[in-house]
Amino acid sequence: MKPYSFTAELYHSSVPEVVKKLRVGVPPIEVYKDNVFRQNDVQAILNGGWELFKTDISSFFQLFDAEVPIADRLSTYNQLLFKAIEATEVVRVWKKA
Amino acid sequence: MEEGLAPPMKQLVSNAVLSREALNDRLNREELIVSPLLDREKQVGNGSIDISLGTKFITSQRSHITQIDPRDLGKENIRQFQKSRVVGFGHKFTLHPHNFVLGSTFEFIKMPLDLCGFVLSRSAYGRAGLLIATATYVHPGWQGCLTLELENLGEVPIILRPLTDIGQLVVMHSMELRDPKKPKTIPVGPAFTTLSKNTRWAKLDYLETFFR
Repeated sequence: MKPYSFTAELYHSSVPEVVKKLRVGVPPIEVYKDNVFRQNDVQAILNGGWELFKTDISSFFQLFDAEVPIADRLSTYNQLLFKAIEATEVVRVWKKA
Repeated sequence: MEEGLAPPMKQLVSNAVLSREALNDRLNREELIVSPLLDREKQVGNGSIDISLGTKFITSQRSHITQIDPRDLGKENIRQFQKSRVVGFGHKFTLHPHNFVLGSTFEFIKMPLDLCGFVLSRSAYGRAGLLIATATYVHPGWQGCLTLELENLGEVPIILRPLTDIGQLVVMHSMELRDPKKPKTIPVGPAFTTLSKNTRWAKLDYLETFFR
């Protein structure tokens, strides 16, 4: 079996789209490229989640009303990532059915 | 297309329900987000997008509470008679006659600032006695998984399965919002009621003491 590796090339082709979605508060489930919607990999979602968290999470926090505590904003961020992971897996299984 | 039209016709066109082509165009440009669509070809119809049931529910249960006063429906009180539940993919949820449960859409929705939407039951489910939404308006700029108020109006239990296409989202043009309010949350499941935060309670309290 060929060992799997999330290469730098894969990172650069998939993670920016994930980050773009997360930044506007949308779960990064799929991306529209070459006239089709493709599901993001779980690896891309997790890497994108970390990238935005480590580099520019304040842009995500700014989406919310000023009254919302940071902990709640962060909780929403996690929920969006969970939603993306759940949905991409369901779509993958749905296509096989 | 709108350029040559007289003002009343222009208004008519701008208020129109989006056709399949217009919906696909907005979806492809990722201005309108309804994601993921499991059967894109079938789900995007002429004038509406089919939406599916998600896995998260809020169920009401019998409790020692004698009545519900919306004014006191804070987080603590709600949890005395409503509970969150997850029904996994491939599993079922039985909605008994005249029972009520909150569900949510599987699809995540993001409306651009110049569109709004209405959630409607699919007639096939409506005829089986299932009502899916009572607060049906989706505001321009809103984003999240929509909370659905599911009620079995019939006399026999109805089986609900996550991912069934139980509703439809009709999308219409709206006057573009200039200064949209920032959200307090971006829900990915059904939301508990926020009635206790209604700003009218203080005024109503005052009226109560004034007129007594």
